[in-house]
Amino acid sequence: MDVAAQFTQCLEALASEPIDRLVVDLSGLDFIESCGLGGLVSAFVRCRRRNSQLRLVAPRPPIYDILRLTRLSEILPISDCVDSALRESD
Amino acid sequence: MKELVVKNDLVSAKRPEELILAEVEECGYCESAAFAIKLALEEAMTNAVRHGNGNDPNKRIFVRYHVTADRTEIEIRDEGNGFQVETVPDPTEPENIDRPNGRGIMLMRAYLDEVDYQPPGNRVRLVKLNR
Repeated sequence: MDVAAQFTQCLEALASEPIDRLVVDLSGLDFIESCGLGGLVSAFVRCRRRNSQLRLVAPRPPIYDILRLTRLSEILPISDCVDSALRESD
Repeated sequence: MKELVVKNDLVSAKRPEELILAEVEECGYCESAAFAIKLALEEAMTNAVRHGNGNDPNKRIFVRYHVTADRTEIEIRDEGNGFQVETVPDPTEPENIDRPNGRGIMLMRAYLDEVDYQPPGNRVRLVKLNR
């Protein structure tokens, strides 16, 4: 299985758990493509259906640029750090 | 132009990326241009494997490329029936924004200088300038 598929499977499984919030720390990520973005969107949709939140943390500039270009930064909340992501609300 | 033929699977589809990015690095491309080429190759090769060739292990992908210090040109052809690129929905429109798929072509166009799909749509030509 490719990395994006593993990433998606992992996020979907977590988003299906009975949780209030799913925080995805992107600070160590240096590359993402459309399949990886699809994993984030899929997890976001699952969280929304379960009335939980998905928050992204500290994407590096190249990753943020992709989120902005695809306008996903408008629907996926982004926090500066994990602590903030655990406190902040949508 | 250098030419490669690879099997239709995501592991084999990485080989052209490795070779092209090695040349891009040798030519001293800036970080953002190298990132753009990697992104476009990931998108185009994944599209060829999954959508063009429909994950058929008996099909192949044909890659031609030319890397100079100023410019990288890549042509990728699959053995599928092609498609009309104009029919692909805009993934940034509100009705599409929460769909998990459909952002690959938009990203290639955002990051490259030229993205041309040639009829019947199973061949794409990608150009990135190093600047």
